[in-house]
Amino acid sequence: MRELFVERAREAGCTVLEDGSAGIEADYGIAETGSLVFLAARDRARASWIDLEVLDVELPENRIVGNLEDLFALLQPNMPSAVAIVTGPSRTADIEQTLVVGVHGPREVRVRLKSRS
Amino acid sequence: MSTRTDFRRAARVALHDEHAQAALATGTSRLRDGRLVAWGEAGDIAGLRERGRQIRTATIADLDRHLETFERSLSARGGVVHRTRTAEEAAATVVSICRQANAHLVAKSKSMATEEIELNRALEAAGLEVVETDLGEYLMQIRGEHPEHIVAPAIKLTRTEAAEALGVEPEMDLVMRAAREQLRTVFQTADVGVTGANFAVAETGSICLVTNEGNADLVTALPRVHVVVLGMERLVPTLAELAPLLRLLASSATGERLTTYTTLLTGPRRQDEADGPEELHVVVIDNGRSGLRGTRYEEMLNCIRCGACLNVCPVYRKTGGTTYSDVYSGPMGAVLVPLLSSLEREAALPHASSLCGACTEACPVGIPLHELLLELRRDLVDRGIGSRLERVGFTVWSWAWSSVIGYRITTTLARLARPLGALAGPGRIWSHGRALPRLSRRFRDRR
Repeated sequence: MRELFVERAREAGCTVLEDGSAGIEADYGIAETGSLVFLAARDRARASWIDLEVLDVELPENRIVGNLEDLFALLQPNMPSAVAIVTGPSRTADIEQTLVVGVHGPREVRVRLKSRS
Repeated sequence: MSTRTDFRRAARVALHDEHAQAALATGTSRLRDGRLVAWGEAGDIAGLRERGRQIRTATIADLDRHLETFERSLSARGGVVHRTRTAEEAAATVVSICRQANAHLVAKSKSMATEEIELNRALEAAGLEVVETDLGEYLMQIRGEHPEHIVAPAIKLTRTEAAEALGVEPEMDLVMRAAREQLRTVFQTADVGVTGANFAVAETGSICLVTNEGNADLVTALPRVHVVVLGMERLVPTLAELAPLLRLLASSATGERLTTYTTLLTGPRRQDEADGPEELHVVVIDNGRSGLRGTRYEEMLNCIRCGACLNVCPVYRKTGGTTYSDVYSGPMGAVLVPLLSSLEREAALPHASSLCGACTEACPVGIPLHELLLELRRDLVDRGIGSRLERVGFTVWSWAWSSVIGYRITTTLARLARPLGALAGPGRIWSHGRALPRLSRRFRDRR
C-alpha cells in the first residue's frame, strides 16, 4: 500500500520524502490515487491546506488506506464539515492546453512519510 | 434565440476561423486522448461504466425519495434547502439570499447550473458584483464571453488574449501570477461564495465539488455565506456509490485518476472551527428536468457533465461551443438544451450531429446520445417543426414513389439531369472537390 501511494503521489506531481518534519499532518492518504486527505476540525482550518503556496505535510504510514471506498467507510457516520481529497498541486490547462501549477492553491506539495505506529 | 439558420451562420463563422479550428482540434484531441489513456489504465473500465450507468439509472428512478433524504440530512447539519421550479425562481432565490446577507461581492466557482439559470445577470441586475474564479472562466468573463466547453471553458483562448485581459505581458508565468493575485483579493473580500455541485450525497447531506485549480475550496472556505446551485438530478444515494462516479468523472473529463481537489462539504462551519461559511444554502433547480422523467429522454438525466462527448463529436470539434447555446454544447447540449427549454426554439440542435455515434461510445454512463438526437428529429417531424422545404420534399417524394409510373419518371429524370446536378443546389456543394456519383440503372431495366 505504501509503495503504491508513493508511486501514485509522485505521478500526481507531489514530492515524496522519507525524512524531515512539517507543521501539519494529513489525516489520511489514499494509495489508489496518491491523494492526501484533510478533515476540517477545531484545530484544522480549511485554509491550512488550500490557502498557501507550498503544502508541506507529514503523513503517518499507517494512515494510508487502499481506495476511496475505504476512506468513505472511515468517515461515516460523523462526516466532518469539510473533507478535502488533494491529489497533487493546484493546476490548470485552461490557456493553450498548457499545464501550469499554483493558479490558486499550492504550486508544490511535499509529503513526508512517517513510519510510526 | 437560436434557429436553424442561426446555428448554420454561427457554424460557418467558426469554420472560417483558422485559429479557432486549430485550437479546437488540439484541445479536444488532448482531452480525448487523456480519457482513452486513463480508461486503458483503469482495469475493468467496462465494468466501471456499467456500474456507473446502474447507479445513475437507479437514482433517477427514485429521485424524489433521494431528494427528501438529502434535504433531511443536510437540515440536520444546519444547511438550508430551497426547492425551485423555474430558472427565474432559482436565480431570484439566490439574489434574495445575497440581499439578506447584505452582500456586495459574490465569488463564483465554475458551474454550468448557474449558467443555465443566468445567475450572473440576475445578481448584477440586483447591484451585486460577481467574479468567476476558475481561471478560464475569469478570463472569459473579463472578455464578455460565455464558457465554451464544460471542462475547458476557454478552449480557444490564446496566451496573448489571456495576458491582454489581465493587463500583463504575454508570458504564462506572468499571467498566472496576475490571476492568482487578482483572485486572491476576491476570495478574501467576497461576502458570498456561489458554486454548483458535481454530486450531492443523500445519506450524508454532503455536496461534492471537484476542481483542478482549487478555486471551489477557496470559494467555500473564506466567504461568510455559501450558496450551492444544485441540479436536482445530481444526487447519489450513498458515499459508497459516489466513489465509482468520481473515478468515471475524473478519467472521462481530464484523464486523471481523481480530480486534484475533490471536496465533500457537509453543512456550514461547526462550533469553534476557524473558517468555512456560517450559512450554507442549497438551491435545488428543476428548470425542466422533471419533464424528462418517465419519458424516453429520462436517460439524459444520467449525464455527469464530463464533456467526453464534446471531444469526440465531429460537429463540436469544428464549430466549438458558442455555436450551440450559451450553456451546454456538443452532443449532450444538443439533446439537453431543446429538452430543457423548447424544441421549437432550439429546432436546429437535433440536426447538429452526423449521428455517427462517437458520443454514445464516449459516454461513461452509456447515454445513447445519437439515438436521443434521432428521437428529437422524429419529434420535430411529428410536431411539424422545422424546414418547410424538407417537409414538402419528402411529401412529393413519397407520393411519386408510391406508384410505378411516378418512380420511373423521377428516376429517368434524375439520370438525365445528373450532369446538371453538379451545377446547383446540394449537388454543387457535394461536387466541390469530388465527382457526383452516377445513378445506377433501375434493377428492372438491367435485364
